[in-house]
Parts: sequence; C-alpha cells; structure tokens
Amino acid sequence: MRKFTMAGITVLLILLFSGCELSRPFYTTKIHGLFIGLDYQNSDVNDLHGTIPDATEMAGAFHRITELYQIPFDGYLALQEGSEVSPEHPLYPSANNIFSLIEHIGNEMDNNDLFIFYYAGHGDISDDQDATTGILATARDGESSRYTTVTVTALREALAALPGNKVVILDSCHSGAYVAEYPLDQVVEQTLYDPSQFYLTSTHIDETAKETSVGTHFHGKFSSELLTYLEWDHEGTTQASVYYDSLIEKGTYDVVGEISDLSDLDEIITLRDLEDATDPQFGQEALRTSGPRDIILLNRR
Amino acid sequence: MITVYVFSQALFAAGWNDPAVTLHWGWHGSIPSEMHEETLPVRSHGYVTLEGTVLSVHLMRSLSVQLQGLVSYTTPSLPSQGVYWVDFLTLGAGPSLLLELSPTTDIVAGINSVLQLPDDERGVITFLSPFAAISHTLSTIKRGEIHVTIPLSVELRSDFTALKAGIGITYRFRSNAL
Repeated sequence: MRKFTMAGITVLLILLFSGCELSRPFYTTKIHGLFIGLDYQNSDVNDLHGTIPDATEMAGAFHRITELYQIPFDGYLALQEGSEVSPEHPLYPSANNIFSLIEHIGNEMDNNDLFIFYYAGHGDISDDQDATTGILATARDGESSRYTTVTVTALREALAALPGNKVVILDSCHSGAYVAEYPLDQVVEQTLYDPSQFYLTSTHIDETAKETSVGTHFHGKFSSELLTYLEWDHEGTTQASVYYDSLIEKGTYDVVGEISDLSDLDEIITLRDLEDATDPQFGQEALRTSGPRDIILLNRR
Repeated sequence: MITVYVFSQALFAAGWNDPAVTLHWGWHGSIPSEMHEETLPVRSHGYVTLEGTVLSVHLMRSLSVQLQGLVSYTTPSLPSQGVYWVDFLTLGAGPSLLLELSPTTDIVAGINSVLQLPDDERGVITFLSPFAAISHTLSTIKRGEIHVTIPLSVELRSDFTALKAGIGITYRFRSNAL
C-alpha cells in the first residue's frame, strides 16, 4: 500500500517539474507603460473631456502602485492637451510619434518585461464592421487640422516587434475591433491573434464609450472603473515620476489623486481582474482577449 | 426496514450495483499548441474532482460497465514571465468498464464527455476525455469499501491537449451490504 501511494506521489512530482515553470521567473521583472490621452482641442474632431484625466491618473496610479508593489516601472505620458502643445514634441501623440515611442520603449525592454499601452481618445470603425478596420484617432500632425489614425493591424505589428508581453488597454468607441478572436480551432490563417498581446477594451466593436463626471472632473466610464479598482482616490496629489517632457530624463508630473490604502487590493492583479471590475451597462461592455491564457499585471513583492 | 429493502431492490432492478463516490486531486498539465508560441512545454495546474458512479451493471463476475458523472475544478497554472493559464470548472459524464484484477485491486477505463462552463468569449467548450484508473482496497467497512485510487486522463480539446494525473479516495458501496 505504501509503495502504491509513493509511486503515485513520485509520478505527480515528475509531472510537475516537467512543466519547467520553476526554471523561469514567475512574474514580470519590469513594467513599461505608455499612457496616451487626447482632448482634440487642437483639431476638427469633437472635444473629449475625460481623456486627459484618464491618461494622467492612470499613469499616476501605475506609478504609485508599482512603487508600493516594488516593481520597477518606466512610464511615458503622451498628451495632446489644449491647443498649445507642439506637434514637434516627441511625446505628442500623433500616429508617427506613437509608433516611434513604441519602438523606443521596445529598445529598453527584455523578454521578462511587460509593456502596457493605454489609450484614451476617439476610436472608430468603417461601416462594414470589419474588425481589421478599427482605428484610433490620434493627434493631428503638423499644420493639418485632421487627426491621424492607428489601425488594428499597424498597432498589432508594431507591438509584435517588441520583446516580452504586451497589454493594450483602450478606452475608446468601437475599441472591441482590436480584440482578435481566439482561434478555438487552431485556424492557421488566423493572422490577428498574437499570443504575446493581451487586449482589454472599454467596448465591443459596435458600442460607443461613455464619459462620466467624477467629482470636479470627467473620466471615461471604463477608465473610472479601472481606477476605482486600483484604489485610486480622486482627492490628494501624486507626484508621478514619468517621461512627459523628454525621452531622456523623467520628470515629476503632478497628478490629481492618489493611492493611500492598498488593503483591499489582492497580492496579484490580472488583466481578468480588471475586466471583472468593470460594470457592463449603458450599452457599453468591456472586452478582453479570450482563450486559456491571461497575464498578471501586478504582483506584490 | 421494509421500505429500505424495497428501495434497495428497486435500485438493484435499475442496475444500481456497487455505486461509488471518488474524490481525487493532483496535477493538470496543459500542453500548448504551436499557435500559443509558449516557451514552456507544459503548463502546470492543480485540480480536484468529485466523481460519482451512478450506474453499475455486472457483465461478468469480474467485469462491470458503469456510468459516471463528475464535477471538476482546475486551478490557474503556475505563472511564467507573468503569463498563466486560467482556471476553469467542468462537468462531465460517460461510460466506463471496471475490471476486478484481484479481490483488492480494480482497474477502470472509460471516456467522459466534458463541458467547460463559460468564462469568456469562448463560451461553453466541449471535449472528450478518455481516462483510466487503478484502485486498491484500503479497508472494508460495514456498508462497503474504501479504496485509494490513481487516475490518469487526457483532455482532447480542439485547441490544445491536457493530461491529468492524481491520487484519490473512493468509497464504494457494496450492493450485498445494503
């Protein structure tokens, strides 16, 4: 009887070690974040009121929470705020600059790192509802009054060139267009699915994203719910150390809000946790890359 | 007493011989497909399963055909570089054959049709799961026997394959003891 049990336990241990998880780091070693927000006040697109607070407070929240969880963090804040910002600035969020920033951050990453791409702004699709035609309405370039665009395919290809894993969080209308369907049948021609890219979007492809007022300012409904989950308190101030004025040196950006109490936050926060924190209502439901795989965003050390 | 006797005879008439309840737990290994581009050959989860043999009919003295149902929870896998495979809950049922190798050792083999409860855009997922188990009688008690069981199973999913190996305890009612 004892031999019978020991044989079973030995087999289980052999199987456990065959997975090789124990030979690699369990968690991400460093987080790189690019936080983009546009209010469109310098273009002919409808102004948005919640996107600048969305991007700045999300950057502030990740700065603070990674500090508290003791995870190395490099954050980049790319804002098109008001009408005075120069399109020549390297962190001005035109399409070309966004791709350059992705490449720049990719050069700083290694295979154990995580890149978080956060975007708060307009999104659109063409009338045929083809998932490959989703666009993000990024800032206008030069003297033009028209916005530039980032397509599903272009973003996916830019991110595919980076090492490590990538998380894309989009708070924009029709952003579900960016979430590739998981190929349950291993379809070889499935070109959109990239296992290193994990998407969480504020809406399904046919939905529009809403804004909501929080105290004295506006937020995207989706981003507001994510911030609430991350214990972001809209009172107080966080001095976020991020790249916002230069790609060479971090500066201190004063963000309205702070995280003062982590007691309700789990030791490990996954992308699925963020999706579960959102409330599907008012014709807006979050969408996440499905499949058997998910990613840990934050783990307390 | 008469009621119990009539009820037990009715169960026997319906083929309810030697029903069993098994609780087993252990290792669940998800084997990624090429499309997952995983650097690991296997993703290691834990699992726990509660299984009941709801129908058992003797074909011969030492061979029975059974129908079993199960509910199983598989934990999230160990993470690697931040990525893990998610947890899930499954229900299953299917036929099996039980062969008594000796008075104290049985071997059972069968196949379950399994349904994974929806948790994301994939919805309900179904697949077949062949399995085998060997069990050894630990003790005989008034109304049946307690066995230690070593089950092995395979999950034949459309997008990847998984292996399960565990250890468990079975309580088998003996019909002649009812």
